[in-house]
Amino acid sequence: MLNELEKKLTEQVNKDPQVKILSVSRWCFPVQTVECIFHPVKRETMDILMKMILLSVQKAEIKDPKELSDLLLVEELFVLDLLQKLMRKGLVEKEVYYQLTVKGERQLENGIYEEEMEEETQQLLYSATHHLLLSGDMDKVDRIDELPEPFKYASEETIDLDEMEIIDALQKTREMQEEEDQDEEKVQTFITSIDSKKTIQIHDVPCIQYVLYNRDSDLLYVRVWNTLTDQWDENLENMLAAKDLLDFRREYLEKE
Amino acid sequence: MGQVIAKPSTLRTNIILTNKSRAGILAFMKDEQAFFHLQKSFVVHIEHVQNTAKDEMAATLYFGPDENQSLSKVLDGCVGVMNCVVKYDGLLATNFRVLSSGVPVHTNRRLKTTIEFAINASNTVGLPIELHNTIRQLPIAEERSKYVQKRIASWEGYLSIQERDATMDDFRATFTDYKCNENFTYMTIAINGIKEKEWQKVKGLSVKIQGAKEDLGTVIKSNPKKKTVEIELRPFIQSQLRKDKWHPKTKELVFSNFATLSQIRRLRKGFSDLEKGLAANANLEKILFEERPRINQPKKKVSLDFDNRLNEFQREAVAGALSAEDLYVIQGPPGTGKTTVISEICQQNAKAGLRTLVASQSNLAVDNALSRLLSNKDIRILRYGRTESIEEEGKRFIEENVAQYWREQTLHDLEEELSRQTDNTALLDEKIAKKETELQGLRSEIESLQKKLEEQKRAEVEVEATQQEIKELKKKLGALRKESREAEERLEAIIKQKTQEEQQIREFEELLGQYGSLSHLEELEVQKQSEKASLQKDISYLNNKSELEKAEHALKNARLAYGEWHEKHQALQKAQQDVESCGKIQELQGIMEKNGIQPNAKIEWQQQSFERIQAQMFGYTEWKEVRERLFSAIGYLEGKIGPSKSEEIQKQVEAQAANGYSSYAIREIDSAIDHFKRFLVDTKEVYVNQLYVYLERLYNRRIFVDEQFGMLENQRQEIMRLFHMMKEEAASLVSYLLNASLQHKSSLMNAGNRWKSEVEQLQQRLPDSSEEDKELLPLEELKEILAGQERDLQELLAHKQKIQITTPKIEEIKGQLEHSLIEESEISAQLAEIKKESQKTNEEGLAQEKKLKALEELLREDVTRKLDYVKEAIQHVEVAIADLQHEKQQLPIKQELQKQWHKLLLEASEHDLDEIKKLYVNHANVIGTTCVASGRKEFMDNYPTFDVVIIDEVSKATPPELLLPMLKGKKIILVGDHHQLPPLIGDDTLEETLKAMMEENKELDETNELKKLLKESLFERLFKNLPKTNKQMLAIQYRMHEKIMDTISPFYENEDDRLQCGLEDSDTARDHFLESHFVKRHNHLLWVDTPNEKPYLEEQMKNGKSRYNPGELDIIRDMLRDLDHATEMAISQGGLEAGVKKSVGVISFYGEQVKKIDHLIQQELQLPNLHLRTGTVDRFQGMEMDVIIVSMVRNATHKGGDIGFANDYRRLNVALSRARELLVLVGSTEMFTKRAKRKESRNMYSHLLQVVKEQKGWLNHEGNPVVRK
Repeated sequence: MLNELEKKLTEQVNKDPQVKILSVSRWCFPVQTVECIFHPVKRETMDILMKMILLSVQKAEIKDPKELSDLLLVEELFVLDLLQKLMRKGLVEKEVYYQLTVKGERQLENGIYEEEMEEETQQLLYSATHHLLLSGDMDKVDRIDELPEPFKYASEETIDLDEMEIIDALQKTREMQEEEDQDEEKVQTFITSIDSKKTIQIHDVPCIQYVLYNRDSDLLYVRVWNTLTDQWDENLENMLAAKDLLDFRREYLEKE
Repeated sequence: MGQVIAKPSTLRTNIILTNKSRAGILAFMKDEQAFFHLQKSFVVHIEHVQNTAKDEMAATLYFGPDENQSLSKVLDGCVGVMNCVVKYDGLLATNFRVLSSGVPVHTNRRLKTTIEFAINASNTVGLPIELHNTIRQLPIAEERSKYVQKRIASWEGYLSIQERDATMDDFRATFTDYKCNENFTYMTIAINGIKEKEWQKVKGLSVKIQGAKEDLGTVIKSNPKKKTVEIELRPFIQSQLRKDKWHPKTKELVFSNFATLSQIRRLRKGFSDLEKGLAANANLEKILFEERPRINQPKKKVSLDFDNRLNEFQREAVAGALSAEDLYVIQGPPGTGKTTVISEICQQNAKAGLRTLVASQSNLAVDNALSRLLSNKDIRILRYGRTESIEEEGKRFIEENVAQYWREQTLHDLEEELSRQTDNTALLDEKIAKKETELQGLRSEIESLQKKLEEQKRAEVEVEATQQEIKELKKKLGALRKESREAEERLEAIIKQKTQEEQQIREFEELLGQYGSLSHLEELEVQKQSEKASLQKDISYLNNKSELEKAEHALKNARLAYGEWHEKHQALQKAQQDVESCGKIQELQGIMEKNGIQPNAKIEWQQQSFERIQAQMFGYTEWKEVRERLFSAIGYLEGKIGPSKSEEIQKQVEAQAANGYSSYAIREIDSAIDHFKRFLVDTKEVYVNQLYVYLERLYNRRIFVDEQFGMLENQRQEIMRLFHMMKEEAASLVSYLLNASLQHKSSLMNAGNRWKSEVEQLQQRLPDSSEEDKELLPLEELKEILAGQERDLQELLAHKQKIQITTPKIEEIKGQLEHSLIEESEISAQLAEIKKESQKTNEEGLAQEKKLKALEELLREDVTRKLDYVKEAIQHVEVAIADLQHEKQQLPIKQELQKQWHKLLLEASEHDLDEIKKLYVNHANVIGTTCVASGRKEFMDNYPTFDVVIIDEVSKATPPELLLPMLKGKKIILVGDHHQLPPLIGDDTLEETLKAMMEENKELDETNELKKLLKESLFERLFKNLPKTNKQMLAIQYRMHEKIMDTISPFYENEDDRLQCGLEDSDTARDHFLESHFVKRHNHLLWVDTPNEKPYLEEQMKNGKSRYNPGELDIIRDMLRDLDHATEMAISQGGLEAGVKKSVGVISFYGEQVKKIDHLIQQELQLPNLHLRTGTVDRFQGMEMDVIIVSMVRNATHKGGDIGFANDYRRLNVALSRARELLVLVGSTEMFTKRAKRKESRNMYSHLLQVVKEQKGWLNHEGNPVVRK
């Protein structure tokens, strides 16, 4: 399979007559499958600032927008805008303090109603070499039988990304799934925290590395095809260019 | 919240319709009544229109759809336009029509106002004077438009440059093959089917695949020979290519200059907007086009609290910018903190509730400015523009990211607040306790005040009593004063009387004491009388004696006078005789003189006549003698000749004489006689006939002599007559004197007789002389003594009389005196008594007054009011306590809410952020974009105007570009530096473009205008001509080491302030810690000199115009390696922190050299300790690095060699001012200081070399110091 791929890529590279292939090599880098466990929640899509204003009006005794602004540490202009909107809609009224109308109470109840859903598990692909989460079809990679030698700059450190970043990735995957079976309009599910995460498997992702030379502009450069992401991998290319370019030059050009 | 809304002043005016305007209105409504009653009043924009009729004003009224909703429904959302003539009885509408809804109704030449129309014909509303006046004061819109049109034409050149190749249709090409560069940023495509002309224009166009949505990118290079174009790819395409997913369906490309055209269209719209009066600041056109920009005077300087640390120039600039009304200009040389100033101005504006636009020519500058703004709740930054062209620093602020940015900020604030929560409870308790203490204090104050109030009530009563008492005391005191005054008067009288009496007694006794007794006095009197008599006798004797002496003397004088007279009289008598006998005039005069006879007027006149005639009588005696001789000769001859013959001859002669006249001198007559006599003597025999002749001759002479003599004789007689008359007159004068003398004689005689009898009388009166001839004092003394005696006697008599009168009265007076004394002592005692009484009363009164004063003082204090105040204060404190307690009670609730908010915010979903984004964008108050993007329609719609527009890097933008953001600002702040580079057009400088244009078309009108603009940019003109209040140069730079700054200081020498270095200690603050072959630790400025020979000479690519220099590349290679190594060493030695990279910029005046440097860095060098950036000098403007290497490229041996781009001092300024710690120049000093064509350029680089030499930074191409004599 890799041979076929290499043939295709070589063809593509060779389209430019000025470009000479100095070397082609194959290697693998490790990608971890990280299993995340979490409980998503379901709630109506009332935006949080409005929700907070309704909540504050309901629970606390608020006399003027300034007080609310100080409480939430939100610009008074924003608060003023929203309060006016809420009063216009008949959700909030004011005597001594702002207070919710019956309609407002009902709306808020719906808004804060959160249903914790069943535990879910999702798997993410993490490359410590890239220090990034990657997306791609691991099954396809797994089907490649050849296994070249490991990449010289490979890293197998455990995932140490910011939780927000991980949640974002999880959420995105979930949303893509939800889009497919969305029926309710206003209810959405959110991942608010991750209960646990652990590396459950390490895959070796093969790559094909080209060291290329453009005679026309005396340019030596590296291209690396990543079989997981199915593209020329800029990160790996830059890493190699920074670390090995001079050596390549020495090895391939100065000999001539 | 009670918002104060200014009451709109509605003007009510009559409206009169012409048939035409009525017809216009009826197209929308059944009748005009209903039309004008659609709304109670209309919001209109009034424009003052040029009117042909001189004495009438015309105006056009625009009815905007948004402001007039009912009307808008009828007009279908269109803008209503009503042409009117302004009449005193109302507006006369001449036409009514509509314009499409997009037409702007508000311009800066129109007045927005609310009008109520009265349509009823019988209405007497008329036209309010106010409306008439305001229309009159409006500018005539067409005039302003024409003015702008005329002036802005000079900017057309800029657009022409850009439009040069832009006016063309899209064109297509097919492609066969394509290839990408190493990192998929560029693509080279081989194309077919475009014409030769199109090849020329293809650069800069955008490219897309026929039928595709997205552009591929922009053509950056074309090669007609190879039929290829190079395209800079858009990010989306780049990622497609990486995935090998870019597989175009067709092989057809479309080239379009849409982007350029739309940009030009935007710029041109800027022109027309200014022309139409759509600038937010009506004054903008005058700022731009007047030779001396007309600006409104800034209001009073505001005093500010600054958020950033600013130096004096920066503070001045910020304060100035905030105070300015229309325009403020800031000149910021390199590294002087322009961005800090911009950021501070934005912050101040945000605090004041103003919205600011930050615009710049480049995206980089916009992002740079925004990134420096402090994170602050007051400021909501929004970056507007195409995401892909926005730098990392600005990306936080693009619309899709602002909510995230806001969320992070709010989370941060919330966390801080939550961490303070426990403190807050304690703080509240403390506050409450404090308030309660305050309350207690106030309450006790109330008590004391109430006590005081009671005291006051008591005092009021007391005051009345005291006042009464004082009144009575005053009355008593008055009576006492009167009494005392009377007593004093009496006492005075008594004392006076007493004194008189005492005086009388004393005088009497003194007088008596003088004489002892009365009888003694009388004796004295008798004695004095007798003395007096004797004295009188002596005096009378002496008087008589002196009179006698006087009379005797007078008598003697009288006798003497008589004697004198007698003598004189006799003289006169003699003179009388003398006059009669005198024969000569001199004699007569002598007589008169001698006797003192004054000649009278008559004699004087006679004498004058006498003297005049005497003078004429000259020669009388001679004539008399000659006549006698003649007569005797004639007599002799007559005797000889005989009478008859003589008579005959005489007659003959007389007859002849009657016919003629002969004159003869005396001598001639004498000689005639002598001749005749000699003849007689000499001639022995005389014939009678001979004698006839002589007689005849003598007769002839006798006639003349007779005549002469006759005349003289007459005069003699006259004289004689006069003399006689004078004598007579003199005689009569003398006789007159004699008569007078005789009269005098009798008076003299009388006087003598009188004095004689007087003497006799006095002699008789005098006693016998022997008896009386005793010694006597002189008369005067005696008289004095007598007078003294008389006075004594008189006094004596007076005394005597006084004594006689007083003696009987004296006892009585003594009795009176005794009485007076008694009375005096009585009154004195009485007076003392009164005085004592008065004093007592007075003291009593004073005491009462004092008491009254104290009472009044007590009453003066307004205790009731104070009481009210305190009560009020108590109320306040109570409310405050209640509030605090409320707060305390609320605190846990609120804290709970905050925790909840924090959680929600953490979990915020896309939707949440979207809502926040909407709010944020709505209330964004600092908006950043490029100049050109600010003219986009979408942006214009969202942000029509800004309170303040700040434009950065003004000198890099063309005026049309600047105009776009300027149009939007009520106030405009320009920041730039005209000593740095001017605008680029595409990749070319204005100079290059202009050159190209002139080569193409030499007749182009705009070129002259452009040349002028090249000389002095808009920014420079504004900066130079604005008053001091509206501009500021930032003169302290913080970027460069002092020694690097020295290279650019000359460029700012002509400014008001010198460029200064703000680094406290340059050597510490800008220590590069590098020690290498090329660079020593103390070096901050180096010039690596290259020889004027190969390989250090400039070269040109075969088909390119740009240049490069291979020799310089070699030096740069060594230099970079050297620097990398030195950095590593510095880290290992601890000078630099581990992991730190030196930032190094390698720049050049030439693009080709930059490319070569790029290649060098990418392919040949590995410099892990350096952070490298390369670029042309022009692109580097605005950037800074630790180290800058400038590759100067130009170096030629042939005569035509010059330094090209490097001639521009502004380019050099930019090149020199990028480095913080170390600046390295690589190039030929020979070429730049000696071989350059322009003298100014040679001077400029010579100065630079001088600075380098002074700092011992001149190296040869091997890096060793240049040593010269």
